[in-house]
Amino acid sequence: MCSVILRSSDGADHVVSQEAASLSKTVQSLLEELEAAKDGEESILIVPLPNVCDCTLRKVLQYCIQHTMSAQQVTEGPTPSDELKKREMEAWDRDYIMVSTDELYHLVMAAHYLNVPGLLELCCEGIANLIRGKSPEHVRQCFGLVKDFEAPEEESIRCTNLWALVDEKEQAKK
Amino acid sequence: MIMYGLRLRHTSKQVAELSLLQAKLPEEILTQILSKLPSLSLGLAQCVCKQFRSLCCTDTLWRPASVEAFWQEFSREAAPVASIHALVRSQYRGSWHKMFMERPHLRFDGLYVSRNTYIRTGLVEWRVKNPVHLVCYYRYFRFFPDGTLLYRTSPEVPVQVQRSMRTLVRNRMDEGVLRGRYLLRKDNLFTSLPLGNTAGTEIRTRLRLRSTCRGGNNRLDVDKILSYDRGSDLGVPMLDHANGEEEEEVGGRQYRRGLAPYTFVAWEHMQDSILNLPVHKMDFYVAG
Repeated sequence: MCSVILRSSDGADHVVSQEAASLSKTVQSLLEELEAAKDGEESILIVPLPNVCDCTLRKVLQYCIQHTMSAQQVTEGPTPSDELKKREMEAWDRDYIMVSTDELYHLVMAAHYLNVPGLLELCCEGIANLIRGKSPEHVRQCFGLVKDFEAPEEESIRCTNLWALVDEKEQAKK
Repeated sequence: MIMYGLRLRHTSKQVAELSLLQAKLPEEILTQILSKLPSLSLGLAQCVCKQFRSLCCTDTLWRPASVEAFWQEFSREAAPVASIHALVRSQYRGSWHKMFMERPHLRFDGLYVSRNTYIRTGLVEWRVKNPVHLVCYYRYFRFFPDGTLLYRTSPEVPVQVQRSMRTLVRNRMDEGVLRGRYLLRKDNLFTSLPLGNTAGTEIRTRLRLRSTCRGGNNRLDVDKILSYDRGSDLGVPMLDHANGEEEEEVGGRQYRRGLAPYTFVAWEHMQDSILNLPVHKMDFYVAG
């Protein structure tokens, strides 16, 4: 199996298999270009990624490696435990996405830049989980957002979305 | 520091809670995140800030919720989804959000709770006291998009029953959860519940769906509860054929108790709903 080196913005190198690196469409197309330009002597390609910092890249690669490994296992033989593996993978994903909001931000941006569809999906899911079922005030706190409505505007928005807020109002009455 | 083509500042201690996620996330990613949210969270997110509000109004975000909400209504047709598409174009100016807010539909993200209380006179001892008991019990409905429903009568408060009614997966007969079918025609709701006993009793309820606010769909008024002893007579039509206008069958027993209107409580609000209050804190609950 052919290996490649990914170089992060702080200059640290990561050696990974070409398959794992190809999960990123950006890296894949870069690799193809490099492949075409290479003069035959170099055996290992170096892909510079000036937009991704080291710790984020490490985290991204963790995802890529895990996912290529499981994909290989599946193709080796369609065992009856396919369903089990899928569930294992989902559990792994859930664990993986348990990071701080800042890390999550870097991860989602890196996934977007590197164009890893699965990871981007996973990150969006992770962020959506932070919003799901929370009151507007809670969401604001969680994301450090500022309420930029004017008073009458806010009232009208609350009115149109009363169906979602309704219990809150009952609480207020109590 | 410049990354991902944006200028970022390291978050200092002071603004620690102002995470990078805020305004720095490009709108396309935010939209993708919002598309993962259920309708209730979308409604809540609209109240967060201007940016969220305009993003949450993106019409396509409401498409999955609308299709789910109205699927049952069109499930008899050859291509339900196509029918819903036709409807949204013809009646709601092509807006999924408008359709979701304006057309009556059942809500699948919580329980409809009917809290019933009645007074029972207690045992008179020595003619000193004349005790009365205030008895409280609940009726619960949980609807699923495919026309299935779960029903339960229980003295337990919503927080305690919610786990048993969350999913269809396990058969929870032992917990007193019954499984039936429903039909919604405009705002008329018909439910059918086989009790599974030897007499083959079926309970039918006629309800009316109502909203206390726009798009609420949060009240069910009980019109009638009837029970039929079917025996092993399977010739009796089940709810399937009914277009809702079926005539009343003979031989039904009508229930006169426990007709309190149902209030919708979303899973997210279950924990702090006032319906959880015990009788000594809240004697009668009148659903508005």
